Amino acid sequence: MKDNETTEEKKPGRLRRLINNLRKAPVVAGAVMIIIAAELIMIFVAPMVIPDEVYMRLYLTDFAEENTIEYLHDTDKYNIRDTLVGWQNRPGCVYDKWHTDRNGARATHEYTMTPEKANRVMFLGSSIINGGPFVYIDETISAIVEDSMTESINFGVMRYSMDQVYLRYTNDLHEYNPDIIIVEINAAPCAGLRNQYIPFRDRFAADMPYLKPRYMLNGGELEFVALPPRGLLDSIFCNSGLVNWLEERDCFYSEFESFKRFGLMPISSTAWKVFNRAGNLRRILAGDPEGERILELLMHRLVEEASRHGASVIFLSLPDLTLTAPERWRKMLPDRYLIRLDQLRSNGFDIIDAREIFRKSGHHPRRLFVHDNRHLTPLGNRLVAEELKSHLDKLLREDIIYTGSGADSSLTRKIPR
Amino acid sequence: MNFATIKYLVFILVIFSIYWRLGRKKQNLFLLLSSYFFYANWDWRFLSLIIISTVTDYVSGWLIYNSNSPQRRKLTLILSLIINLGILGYFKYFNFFAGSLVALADTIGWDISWTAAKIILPVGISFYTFQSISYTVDIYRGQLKPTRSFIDFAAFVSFFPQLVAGPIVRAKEFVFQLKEKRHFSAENFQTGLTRFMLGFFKKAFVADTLAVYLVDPAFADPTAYSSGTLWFSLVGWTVQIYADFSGYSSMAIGSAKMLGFDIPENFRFPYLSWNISQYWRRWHMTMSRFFRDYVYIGLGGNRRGMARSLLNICITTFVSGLWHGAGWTFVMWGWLHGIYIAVFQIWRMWRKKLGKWNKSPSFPGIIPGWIITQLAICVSRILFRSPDFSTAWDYTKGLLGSDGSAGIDVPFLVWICFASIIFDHIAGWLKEYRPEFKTRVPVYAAAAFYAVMFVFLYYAYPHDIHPYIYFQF
Repeated sequence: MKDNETTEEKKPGRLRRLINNLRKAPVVAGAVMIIIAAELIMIFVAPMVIPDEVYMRLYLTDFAEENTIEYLHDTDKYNIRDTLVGWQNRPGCVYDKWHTDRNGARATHEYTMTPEKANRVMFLGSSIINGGPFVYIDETISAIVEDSMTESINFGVMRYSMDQVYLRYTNDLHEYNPDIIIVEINAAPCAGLRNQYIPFRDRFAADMPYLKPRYMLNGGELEFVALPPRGLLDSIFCNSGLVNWLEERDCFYSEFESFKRFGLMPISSTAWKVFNRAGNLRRILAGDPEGERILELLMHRLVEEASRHGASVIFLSLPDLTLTAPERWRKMLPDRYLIRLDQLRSNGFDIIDAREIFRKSGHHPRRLFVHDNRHLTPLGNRLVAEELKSHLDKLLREDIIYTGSGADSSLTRKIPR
Repeated sequence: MNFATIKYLVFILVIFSIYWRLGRKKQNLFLLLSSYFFYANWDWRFLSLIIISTVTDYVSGWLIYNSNSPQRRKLTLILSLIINLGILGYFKYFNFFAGSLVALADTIGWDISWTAAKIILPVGISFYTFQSISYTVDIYRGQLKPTRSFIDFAAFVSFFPQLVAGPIVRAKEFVFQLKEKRHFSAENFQTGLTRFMLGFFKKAFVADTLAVYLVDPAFADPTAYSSGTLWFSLVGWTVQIYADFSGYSSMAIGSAKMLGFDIPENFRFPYLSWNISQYWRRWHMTMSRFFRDYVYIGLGGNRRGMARSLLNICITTFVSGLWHGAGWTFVMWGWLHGIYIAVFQIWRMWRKKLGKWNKSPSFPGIIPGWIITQLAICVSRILFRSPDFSTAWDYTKGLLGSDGSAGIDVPFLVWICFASIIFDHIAGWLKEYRPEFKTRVPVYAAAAFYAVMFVFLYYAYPHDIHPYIYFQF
């Protein structure tokens, strides 16, 4: 019995050994304790003491303040503020590869409201369909689609989501009288629909700290949420008015709330990032039912609105590099992109899938996307445009009666305006 | 796998959690496998080169040791050197020498058509080749007995903390450590971790911040900047390369310490040197030691008179320059240092003859020497950083008077970088020359210092970690 006791004394337990080791490494132990104490203070105490506007300053990355001021004073080089949709392309803008006409379309010449050729196609969506600053105008999808019979207007605007596309078309773009509208569905078409303040959805979007309107689901129906009053954004760094407004209306508000507690210290921040990744994985597996429902309803409304103005709508699904050539682990997960497309197609929408085009082309996916892995290279645009052209040919050529030769005026339209 | 990444932290955590549960033999085998995994993470194909080097020197070591015939011993050594240096020569220098020969032929009017072979430079090949060679040479010289266990020897050649960028460890400093079982020691862990943290700070913060904000822009287009800016940037580059390489060495030494190994120091406050000879005893010490012991002494050192000694210095610095990179700018850099050392040796000899040579001058007495030495080092670094002679020439011309007028608007972080390296050297100076200032830092202050550094690094850690400058060698 005595021997047993001696043996037990010789072998200290795990806790005892840990304490002994900590005593032998007091600097490491002390540093760890200080860090843990600081982490706990930042999680539990700091948000009660520090005002939201201070967190907002920390949350918004470099240049966000400068860009907010530019946005409010309409001095941004690519965009101007818009009281309905948040922003639109700056008209008459020339920067390197980027050109817009007097109406803000991606063009070197101005389009009038009356079509000059037999058919008019209008492109709506984000900078992916617009081409962004990555390609020259003649390398955009819209420019490649244009030919002697078809006029093509590109109204893609940076970071536009389906709600803004719908609002723009309803409000003013229908006046251009397009026969067909090509509307982009990008890789994450639902995320923007539940968001009002862009940095809440994408913290590092310091170049566009803008506000946008959105639609909320209310009893299965869409309810419009307009832009907050300008003053709220104006005083973003002085008081928490905007944060309070967004708390009710922006689904990504929780990002900011989590940042306040977990975004400022190394350990909690790392844990938060891991948690977010898990959340992304969950979204890949389960989808985003609310966002998908809003998207579907908006697409229906857009089709109805277009048909009221005598136009038909083709949706163009443009995936990013991750969706086009998924990594091995992603291939084991359900293909949420295809599931969404099938679901939308089953609702009667005419959708062209660019992923299918890319895969069939046999080109290495890296050649199709620019370095941000989202926007398309001239080659990517050309592949999409060629497919789109043959699709448009089928739609348009059947509907047009050719009554003569030469002048455009000799072409008569079947589609009533 | 870069040390200053989350990937490495995860890797080392996994290694720790397994390594300390194993017995000695298993510890060594595990270290070997981990090191191979670490290397394969860059490019698994080049593992074969390490294995060839390891097998060659293991077998050569035994053949030399067991042979009584001096000719056979010499032949085995030469064969081992041919294999090791042949691999190094092909992968690192083939295009350089072939390209230079073609250029030379072109100059004298011979038209030779040649396209550079597509050869990838295996990371760290210069480092592990030297380690491997030192083992065979030491056995040949009778300074070392060959190691019985192949696993131990292979673990020595490929030991991951210093595999790709040194310090260059010699077998007699390391292999005996592999023969003993390592037990976890909290003291060693603390020493290793704090050392790792300091290295991380130097590399990830100081070196990369200086590179991004100060050095890269100036070297990209030296003609655009004013003389003052070019001088400022040159000092920045001198600090950057020190922080980069000594930071890496600190992380290597720290990682090894946490695994229970002692590997030699690589830097001892080089910018305190007041003569060039002293500088090479403080900068990349393990490499200097290697060239001294295996090249300079091998050539006869200073035993055959002054003229031969100077020639040996020039040959050694030429090889050193070539070792750093397969390019004429590196060769010129090496030669420039050869000239510096030769001039210093002559001056020292002359002063000794006059009876005015003071080995340990007073503080005011070292200032002129310090200024000249540091200036010479800074200027030689232009060659080290420039991709070609034309950029180096533009930069040097710019230092003396530039047509450009642009300045670099540096953020406050750059000043923190300079301040931390100055502080590092002041602490080093006090430690070496004013031991009476030695005070014990209270534990709580040290703990707070490391906690603050940890949080600071979280904020200052650049998104884009630059590869280590010495990886290319």
